[in-house]
Amino acid sequence: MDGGVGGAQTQYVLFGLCDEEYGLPIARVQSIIRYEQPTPVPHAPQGIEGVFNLRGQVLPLIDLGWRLRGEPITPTAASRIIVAESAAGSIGLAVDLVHEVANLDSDEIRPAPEAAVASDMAEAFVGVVNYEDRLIILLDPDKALPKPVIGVGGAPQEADSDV
Amino acid sequence: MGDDMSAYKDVFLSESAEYIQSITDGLLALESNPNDLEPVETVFRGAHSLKGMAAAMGYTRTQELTHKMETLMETVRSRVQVADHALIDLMLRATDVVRDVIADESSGGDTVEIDTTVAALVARSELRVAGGSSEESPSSEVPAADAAEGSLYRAKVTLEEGCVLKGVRAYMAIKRLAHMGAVVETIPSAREIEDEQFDRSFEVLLRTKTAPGAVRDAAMGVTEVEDVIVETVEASAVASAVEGPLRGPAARKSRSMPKIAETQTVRISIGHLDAIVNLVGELVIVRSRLDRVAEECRRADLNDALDVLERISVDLQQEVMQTRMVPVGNIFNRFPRMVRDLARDLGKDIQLDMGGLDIELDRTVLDEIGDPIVHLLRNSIDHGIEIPEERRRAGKPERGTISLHAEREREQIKITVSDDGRGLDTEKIWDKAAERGLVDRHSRDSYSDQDVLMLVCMPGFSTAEKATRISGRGVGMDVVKGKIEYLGGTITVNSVPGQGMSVSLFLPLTLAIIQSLLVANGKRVYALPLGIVEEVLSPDEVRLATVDSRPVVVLREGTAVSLHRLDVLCGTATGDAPGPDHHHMVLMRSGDELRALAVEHLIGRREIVIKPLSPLFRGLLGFSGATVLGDGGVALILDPRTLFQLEA
Repeated sequence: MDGGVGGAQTQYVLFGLCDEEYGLPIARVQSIIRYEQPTPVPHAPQGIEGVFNLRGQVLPLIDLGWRLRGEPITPTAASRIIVAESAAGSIGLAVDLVHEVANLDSDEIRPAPEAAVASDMAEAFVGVVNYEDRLIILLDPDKALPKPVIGVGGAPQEADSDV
Repeated sequence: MGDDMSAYKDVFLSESAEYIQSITDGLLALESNPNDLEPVETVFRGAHSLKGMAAAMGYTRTQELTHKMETLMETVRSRVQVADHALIDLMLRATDVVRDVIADESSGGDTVEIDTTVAALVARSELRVAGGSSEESPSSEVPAADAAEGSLYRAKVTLEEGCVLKGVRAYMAIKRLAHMGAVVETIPSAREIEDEQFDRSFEVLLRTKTAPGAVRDAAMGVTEVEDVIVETVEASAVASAVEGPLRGPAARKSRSMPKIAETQTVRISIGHLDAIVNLVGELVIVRSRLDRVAEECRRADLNDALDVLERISVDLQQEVMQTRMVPVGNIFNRFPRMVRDLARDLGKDIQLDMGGLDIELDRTVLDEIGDPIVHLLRNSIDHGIEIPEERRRAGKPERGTISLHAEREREQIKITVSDDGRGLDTEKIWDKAAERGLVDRHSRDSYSDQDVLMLVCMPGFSTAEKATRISGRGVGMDVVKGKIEYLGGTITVNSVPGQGMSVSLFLPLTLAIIQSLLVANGKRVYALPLGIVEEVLSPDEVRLATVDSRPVVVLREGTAVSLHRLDVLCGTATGDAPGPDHHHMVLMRSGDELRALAVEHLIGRREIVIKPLSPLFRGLLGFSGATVLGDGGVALILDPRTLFQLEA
């Protein structure tokens, strides 16, 4: 949701990837479930682990570790799937663990140090915030989550069918 | 804008779309028969209703524009003007602007300007108006169409002083009146009456054949109605009767109430329907899960309960699928305008015949076939129908005919697009296909004419070489065929050179639930649409060989079909996997070809609920969707069209 003017608080879901902690606005999170091994989809685009069943819906599972850091997560009992709303509809994001939901002050958000972020995903990071002595990297859901590819495998372009 | 208004807005938007459609339909009907007064009435009423609704919403530009359209139609209605092509053109253009301006105003925008269109409408309204005054064109004669439906009355209903349930009494009175004819208008609006926002009396404009006395008696029959005054109104006064209070944006005086007597249908958002279908799908899945539990428990009472559950869920599924059925007319109705516009652009005279508009199809199927049909129509307009002169020389009527018909054939819907144009030349098609390397030039004898016609649906047959504004921006026939096959349908092409051609699409009634064959490699389960499976052979029935060093399966009658391993196609083959001689062979149709798919395990035949794959998988080859199995796992649905492209 909209944080509003200065000092407004926004709720974030805080989760871990390897030893780093990230935050995603809760407005975009639909649910959090235990990690389950997805059904692999042969020849799927890189970064999509497969599909899983969420109450009858078949959703794609994205390894967020791979996507943000280039390192796939290692599934353990603490691993979770964050079901989020993206430009491509509902998707699952595999993460190492989910900590908590936190109220963060928009005033406290500082720009992410440029050197600290991988260049190709740099714009996915809104900034960093100190929360209970932990450094949280805040994500812009529109940039951090994958978008549908346009124009691949679609209709042949400008084909005429004169007969 | 409060929640209240935004709720009205949704209603307004969906109703205005219907009025715009009926205005368009009316204009096209009027164009083909300028003397018919019925479409005039439709257009007039459509514009009038839109005006009232726009006023209620405070959409002043929409209100003004539709008012001017109404005024112009009034001149046609009173036979001051003739509905010639120019007038129809102008009205159609104005209808387009109405659509734009509604979108603009409803989203709070201020960009669509209406002045040009308003000026054109006013100019045309003033044309040939005897006596000059343009705005409210005079009309004293009641048009024939009105007479046929009875006369227009204004019934002023007064309730007793101290009446407690004003809204209810008024509703009952209006309902009684509506039974006798058509309620054109109420003052104040139906909603305001419902909300009791009137003093003691309200007015109902009613068109009926019933005598005024009987109208009065009907309304007087309602409890706590004190008095009813019925007077005759001239048709032209309908507009002016509501003109005054409509001016200010805040004045919500008039809302047409077309359907007060028809409370049998409910508008449901498509999202709700989809959610229900999903839930029913889940119910089916849980049921099959319970079946497995019951097998282990072996308890008679559990089995009985499950039998009942099964019957109920089958019925529920059928009911739900029924709610998703939509008449094809819902998408066909935009085609007359398209055909007319394109035909005029090309200097052709074409009439579109449509039939079977009430045939129903699953909404998902219907959404998908719009584009293919547009493509077929464009082909006929652009390539099929000749220009009038050429048609005359060929001894045909100058006006070409394209027909679009839907009919039910057993468990399928057949949609045919045909024209009486120049038809397809099989030899030309053959030459072109040979030129493009799609067929061996010397093998003409092994192709029937029908086979040759189907070549136009092959990928690579059509090219952009002759792209015109009309069919060039579309897709090729191969994409049309692919789409229809994806939907589980088939396509046939027929032609008589010089006399025209027809393309028939055969479509399944529903999409979301299909019969399938489940197969597995290792632990991975896949679903094959049962419709494409020809035969299943067990390992000991199979004779393997190679042709041209490619593996084939030799069938009983000696023919060889190419052999493909599912694990290879899916990239899961491992060195120690059993060889194809230990596999089951599924003989399946892929396009026009029969192929053998080698799978490790056959699980069996299941009814599955198709779940679409996320748009993230767009362009993925080999799989058309997924389904949820009884154990909660996911199985991918193999797409016979693209599966074998994975091998390359």
